[in-house]
Amino acid sequence: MRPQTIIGRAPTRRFILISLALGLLFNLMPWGPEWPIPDLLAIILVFWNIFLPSRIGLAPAWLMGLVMDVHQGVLLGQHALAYSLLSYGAITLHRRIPDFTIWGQMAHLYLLFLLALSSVYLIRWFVEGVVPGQVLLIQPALEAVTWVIVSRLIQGLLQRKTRPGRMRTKAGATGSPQA
Amino acid sequence: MALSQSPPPFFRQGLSARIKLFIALAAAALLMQLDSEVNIAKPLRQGLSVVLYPIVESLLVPRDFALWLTDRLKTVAELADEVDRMREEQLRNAATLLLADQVQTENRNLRELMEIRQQNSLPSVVAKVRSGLQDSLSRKVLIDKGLEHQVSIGDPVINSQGVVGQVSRVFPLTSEVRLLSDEQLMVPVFLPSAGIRGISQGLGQQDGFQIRFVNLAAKIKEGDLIVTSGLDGLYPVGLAVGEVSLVVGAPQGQFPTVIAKPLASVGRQKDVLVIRRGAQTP
Repeated sequence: MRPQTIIGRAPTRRFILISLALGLLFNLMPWGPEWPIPDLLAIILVFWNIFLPSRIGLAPAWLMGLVMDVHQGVLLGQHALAYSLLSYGAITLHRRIPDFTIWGQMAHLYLLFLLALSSVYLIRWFVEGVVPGQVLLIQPALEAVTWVIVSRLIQGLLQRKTRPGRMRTKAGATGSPQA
Repeated sequence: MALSQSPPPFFRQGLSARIKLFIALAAAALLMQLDSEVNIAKPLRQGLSVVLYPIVESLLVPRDFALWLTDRLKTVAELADEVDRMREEQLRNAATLLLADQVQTENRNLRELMEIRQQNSLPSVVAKVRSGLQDSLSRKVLIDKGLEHQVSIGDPVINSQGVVGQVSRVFPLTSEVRLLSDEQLMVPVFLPSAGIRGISQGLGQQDGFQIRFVNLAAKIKEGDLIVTSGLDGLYPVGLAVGEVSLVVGAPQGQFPTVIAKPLASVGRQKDVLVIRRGAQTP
């Protein structure tokens, strides 16, 4: 039996992979340092870890963190650390988050993203001596808001796929449908 | 199967999440240690960067196309204006060039007289800025020349307006340049109008740098020019670095705060010059 989720239909492996690849591509785009850009890969990782906690573990998160470290030219291992923390946090929260309203979800995720980012900045403060500004508070807020949008989007996509032939009520709150 | 000792497969979940987290964190910490202290992680970074290169480059294609198109679509009037402006500039520069020529000849003679080794024109390579690195705590850009073009770590990077920064990492096809406004880049500078030396350090969060350790008695005004002092033997002497934009008097016994903005603007697709120290005679 699949873990209980509020996702209408358990997504295929290909769907998960494509979503993660899109997140990675988004992160690899040539954003400058001028504006804080939400880390879409982290957001999608958190999404899957919340709604399907047993499908993606820490290892893929860790490896993708490594790719981001190389791309951003920062100390190797810091994104790996952040993504591991995020995934663990998401797995821990996976029973709570779906029950909350949008605002409650945002609050939870804000704290989760803030925790991951501050642990990274703490390490950088020790190693490189650089001190972050307001970006430490803005970035997680941006990511929490984007998370809500992305999660609605992915859920919508999945429900659209399930619609034909099935009667669906609100978001399939009873768990994944069994034939 | 029903009577076997092992639990049914859906109870077997491998290591507990907490242990997995611990392993992941330990591995990340180890990697950070390796990357910052020892050079073991370098091949890993180099290899991954080569894999990422085509992806990142292909993501840049639409942007480059848009830039190229807007460049092409400049109206005739704009171009004519630019030609006029350039002619004027050329005229103005002609006088300066003539003077520079004379000074150079004079200088060479004087140097020969003093038997100082001639400073040849510096070996350098022209590179294009590809993109800014998206890291809010540093100010770095990626340029399109790397190991293949004999760029090495520590090479100074300049453009026609002045000092841009310094090469901080070299990959096979690209390199990373730390800009003047990066908190971790320091350049020894000289303020000709006040006649003092100092060290520039980037502000990090915003564009600009401060000048540290300046003489307490120095009379520094806003708008003062800042040039390289060449004391580090890295940057050629007398390159423009920036302009003082703010001076705050110091309390007793402390250094005054001097904030400056860089003269060289670094944007996408701009050309820069990497001075190859490796090729220089020491």
